[in-house]
Parts: sequence; C-alpha cells; structure tokens
Amino acid sequence: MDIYQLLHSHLGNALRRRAFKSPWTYRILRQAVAAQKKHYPWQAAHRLLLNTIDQTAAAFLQKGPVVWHNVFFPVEILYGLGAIPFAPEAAAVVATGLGIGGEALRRAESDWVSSEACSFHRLAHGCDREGYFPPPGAVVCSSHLCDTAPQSLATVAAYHEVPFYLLDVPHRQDAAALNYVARQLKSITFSLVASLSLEWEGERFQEAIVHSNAARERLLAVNRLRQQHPACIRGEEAHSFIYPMLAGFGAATSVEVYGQLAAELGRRYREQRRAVPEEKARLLWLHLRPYYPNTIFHLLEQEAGAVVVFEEMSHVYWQPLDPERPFYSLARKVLSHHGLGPMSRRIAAILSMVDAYKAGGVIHFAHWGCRQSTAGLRLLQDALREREIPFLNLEGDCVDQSKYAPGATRTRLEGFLETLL
Amino acid sequence: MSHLMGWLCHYTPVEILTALGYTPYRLLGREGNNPRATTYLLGNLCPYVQSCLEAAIRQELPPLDGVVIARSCNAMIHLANVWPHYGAGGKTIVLDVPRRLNEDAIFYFSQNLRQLAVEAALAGQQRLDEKRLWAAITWWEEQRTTWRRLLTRRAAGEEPPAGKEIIEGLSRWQTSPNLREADKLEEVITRPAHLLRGKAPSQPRLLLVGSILPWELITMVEECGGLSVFEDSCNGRRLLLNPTTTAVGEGDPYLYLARLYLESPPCPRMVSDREKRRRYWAAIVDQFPIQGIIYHVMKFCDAALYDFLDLKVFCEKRELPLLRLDGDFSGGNRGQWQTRLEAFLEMLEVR
Repeated sequence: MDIYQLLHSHLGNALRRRAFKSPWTYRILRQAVAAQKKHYPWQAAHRLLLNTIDQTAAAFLQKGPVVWHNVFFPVEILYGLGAIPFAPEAAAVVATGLGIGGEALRRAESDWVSSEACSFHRLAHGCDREGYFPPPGAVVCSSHLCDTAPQSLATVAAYHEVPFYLLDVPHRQDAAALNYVARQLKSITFSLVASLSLEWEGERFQEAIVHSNAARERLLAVNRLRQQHPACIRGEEAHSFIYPMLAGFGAATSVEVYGQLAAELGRRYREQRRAVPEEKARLLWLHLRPYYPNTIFHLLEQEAGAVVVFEEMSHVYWQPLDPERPFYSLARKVLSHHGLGPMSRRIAAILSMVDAYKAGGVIHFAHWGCRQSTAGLRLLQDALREREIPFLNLEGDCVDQSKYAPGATRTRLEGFLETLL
Repeated sequence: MSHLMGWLCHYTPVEILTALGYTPYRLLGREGNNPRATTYLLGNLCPYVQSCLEAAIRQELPPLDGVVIARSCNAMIHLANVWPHYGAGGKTIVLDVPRRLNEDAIFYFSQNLRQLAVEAALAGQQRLDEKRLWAAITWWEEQRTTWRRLLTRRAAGEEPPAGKEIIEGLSRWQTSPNLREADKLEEVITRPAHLLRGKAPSQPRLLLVGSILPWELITMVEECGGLSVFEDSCNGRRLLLNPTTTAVGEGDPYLYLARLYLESPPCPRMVSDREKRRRYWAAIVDQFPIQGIIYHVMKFCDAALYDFLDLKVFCEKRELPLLRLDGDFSGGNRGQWQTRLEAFLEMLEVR
C-alpha cells in the first residue's frame, strides 16, 4: 500500500488541525501502522513510515527546536545539533496525500501567493497559515537549484518572526567557492546554536556525519542492485524512498531504512522476484512524480511493462564526508550536485544514469513552476536525441491535483510507449 | 570600431568591461512575443530573458564581442546555458553573484570579478592594469552621480522630470555604442533635465516597483495622469547604485567594486537582505512623498512574486495604496493595465 494512501486512511476522515498537536494522534497512528507490518510489500517502507511518524510527532509536539529547511540544505547539520528538521516541501507532499492540498492552495491564493510560483511552496504556505505545520524556531535554506525556496522560506521566517539563515551557493566548484560555502555552513551552525540556545556537542555532530556516510553507502548498494536486469522493484515503489534523500541524511533512521531496502532487494534478486511479470522496457525518471492519486505508473509499469528502473532524485552525486572536516566536506557535497552549474553537468549525470541502469527511455516530469528543472530541457533533449534515446517531457504538477488531466496524460504516455516497445 | 560587450543583470560591474576596452551594452529585450526563444527556453521562464534571447536569435542586436551573464537567478542561469548554442556569437562569460551581503560575500564576489577581468580580456591583452580600472570606476561614478542628482530633483517635487524621459534616457545610456564619447554622453544624461515639467503638478506621486520595468507602463502611468517619481527597478534607480564610503583609488579595486554593487539598493533576489529593502522603501516613501505604489510583477519571476508579498505587508502597515500589474514584457496587457490604472489613480485622487 502507498504510504500516503495509508496515512490518509488513518488520518483523512478525522483530520483536524488540533489532531496534529495531540500525542494521541501519533500513538494511535503508530500502533495502527505497526500492526499492519505484514501487509507492506517492502519492510523498509514500513520502517520509513514509522520513522516519519516519529519525526513528525517530535516536530508537532515541539520535543525540541524545530528548524525548517529546504530539501537541498545539508540536514546533517540539523541532526548534528539535535534539532528537529522539518522540510515544508516534503510536508506538502504529505498534505497532498492527506487531501488537504486544495484547501491549502486556496489559502495561498487568497494571500496573493501567485499561481505562477511553485505549487510545493504555495501549498506549504497555505498549510502553514492554516495551522497544519509546526511553527519553526529558525529557518535555514540553501540558494542552489531553486529560486522559490529561499523566497518562500524567508517569508515564513518573517511571518513567524524567527531567524532566517541563507546558505548562498555559487555555481563554480573551485577552491574559492568551496571555502565560501564551508565558512557559511560553520557560521549558520553556530548561529543556530546561539539563537536556539542549543548545546554544542562535537561528538553528536560527528555522529551525524558518520550516519550520513553510512546511509550513502547503503543507498549506493540499493542503486547497484537496481542496475541489474530484470528490475525487482517498481519505480512507483522506489519513489517512496526519496524522502530520506531530501531530509534524512545524518539520521540513524535513514541508515536503517536504506540498509533494510538493500537487504530486501538483494533477497528478491536472488529469488528472481520480478517487479513486473515481463519487463519490456527500462525507463529513467527525471525530477519528481505527482503525489495525488494518478495512473501514470500503473499504465507504464503494470499495463505496459515499462519499468522505471531509476529516478534522478536517488542519484548519489557526492563523495563520502570527512568527519574530521565536516563543514568543508558538506560544502563539497552541496557543490557536487549535478543540477548546479552549467546544464552540461546535469546532462552528463543523466547520460551516466542511462548507461548504468540500461534505460531505453527517459521521462521528465515537468512540474509546473519548477524553472530549475524544466528550463534547460532543450539541451538535454538534444543530447538524448544524439544517443537515440526516446525522451518524453510530461507536463504536470506534483501536488496540485487540479492540473492533472488523466486522458491527455494517457495519450502522451501511450504515444511515448509506442516509440519504445 | 568599439568592441561591444553585452550584459544583462545590474550586478554586472561594467567598470571592468570599460577598463578592458569594451563598450558595455545592456541587453534590454525587445517588444513583441518570443516564439523562437521559447523553443530553447521553456515558456514559463522570465520573459525578459526570453526577449533577450529572441533578439539574439533574430540578429537584432549590434555585433557583440560577447556577453556577460550574471548567474543572478534561475532564468539567467538557463540563459547562460543556451546562449553559447543559440544566442549571438562571441564569448559567453558567466559571473557568480552572491545572494547575501556580508564581508565574506564581498570578498568572494571580488574574487569572481578578478576572474571576470581575466576571462573577458581581449585576445592578446595583458592583465588588466589597476590604474585603468580605477579610471573606469571614476568615470562611471561621475555619470551615476549626475544621474542621481537629476533623479533626486523629483524628491522635492519642484521640477520633476517625467518618468518616461528618465527611463528613455537611462535606456540610451545603457545601450549607446558611443558611450565613451563625452559629448554624446552629456547629451544623453542632460536631455531629461531639459525636459522638466516646471512646477510640480498636483498629480498622484507614485513609486513604481518591479524587477525590470517596461517602458510602456511608465508611459501609460503618466498618460493616465499619474506622476512616476521613483522607479525601483534594475533599469531604474537600482542601476545607479549607491556611492560607497570607501575612497576611490585606494586599496583593491575589485574589492571596491564588489562592495559597491553588493551594498547598493538590493534586487529582490537578495533574499537575506529583505530588511534592507524594507528600509529602502521606507526612505523612498518619506523622501519622495509617495501617495501610491504600483508593482509590476514580471511573469514567472520568482523573486518578484515574493517581493510583492513583502511590499504588500509594508503598504498595509503604512496605509499606502498598492496596485499589482502583471506583465510579460511583450508590450501587451495595455487594455487591462489602462483600466486598472485609471481606477487606481481615481481612487488616489479621491483620497
């Protein structure tokens, strides 16, 4: 069962804002999820859901200082400080799953947040103003890849009257850029310690770096297994594991989740348990996917046998961190992102994924409002055409269900599949 | 023949280009739709950037030795990606501009500017001499001072030159291929000063805000009976920067330039500098007795979309009327703008 469907089934009907602030909600939810363990096709997904519930509970019950962050900020810092990270973009996905997206988007519109802005941030704005999100003690945000996140999160910080710390990430990857980012990371870390009255514990900070490396190793193991033929996990299932990639590095729980996923995948490969009965094509998925009920993956994977064997968001683009030089190595991680800098870097990374996962086609989900991901597609399209790899730019919206046109989407997917199969 | 070097974002230190022997030439886009540019850059991207690319594809630009593209926002980043493939010929030089203001950012920006001087150098040119750079800095500062003096005359409201004339003059100033000829320059800057309106009329005094303000909008505001007394945009007052407290000719010129540009009135992209931007608005409203504000939101400009929200809060606190007009830089929307402008100005006159 899909994580978001499950959450909705537990919370959706009786959803009230105050329910989020009640410890009973999380206790009941946790027990309900725990009891259904055997119904989960992937135990790693079950574990991930339990961890997410715990982290959400900690944020809403204010068990510590809650720090909002965007999904590209190196959260190892927040885990290392003992703060509770809260990613509004990721929470917007949960809100979509819970069916409160429409209400939140309407609220954002009434607050004059333009419909031209990214709907993840519009939705997060609405959820925040409607009281669905835990109030932040501080807000941190990196400037790379997305123009909306710094603007949106600075607005949140001003609204809640809490400190806002921007990590300014340049596009060059030279020594000057590395030093510039590393100095900022250090400054943000100690500014958080001061503004949130946290206790600096060097050992805990190092532990977060170690956890990050361990999670990275396990994710690499998962990715190596996914390169095998035929696929043993459907893309729709694998997409559920993006969350730790965006908000979980530095936490011990992400090590567990990826470890368990690697173990389960390994077992399935040994047992030859295929993702679909007959794998007819292998696809690479770029950017994110829609998080409201839709038939895209069902049509691709279960009807047509075209398995999404990898998604760009799970690509490990950075080298292991050095616990002795945490800020410097986190800066290197930030600057290593393949989406940063000239488009040629992203194209090279995507072509390497095509080769590694033996993908015969590429689908890019063009989320409305995400100019970072979509604007440079022409160059990518040209590069793929040169390699004779079919490419589909599927336009839509990840969280705004009103933008989903099932008929038109099916037509485009079927047309694309015809070129593949 | 002068070597023209194109530039777009107002965080581009034109002094370096001048010192290297170029005539900096601002790309200000073109009127009309951008059908060719949208095949290379998707449709929901900044229309100004699309418009500049369209002008290059249609070969409407003068011959350029190259273009400096500041990676100041996502749209510029993508323009830098496609320009070498589909834009005008010549060099494509990209410049990282920090999004925050502190000593670290100033130092980092100064290093990028030093790199810019190396990358932009003409073939066979020696390393840029610092004396030449200081001379260029002085030259540009003199012109900006003249402009600032002219624009400040609108503060008291005695002899306000029209906003339309100011924007036209600034456009000519940024795009004149003969900018280095002193007499031509004098003519460009002083022309608006000769077109004074005389005694300030009793029209509503307006602050116009936007990432880049379309010339048509300012013209229409004044045709409808408003008085544009301040244009907070990168083709308006922000372009003129603010003088720094550091003395010209002393120390590292790159550090001087980095400070000059980053410390000047911030563009909405400087997200961690919002408080400074609010103070800037407050100073304008007080110094130029502003009665109403018009925000031109460029379609798909994420910085402007959120900057507007901040200005809205500011206006609510100061009880200042605010009008939002959306535009796509194509010269369209005239009918809708006019209707809304007339209603807004009527409301201001009643107040």
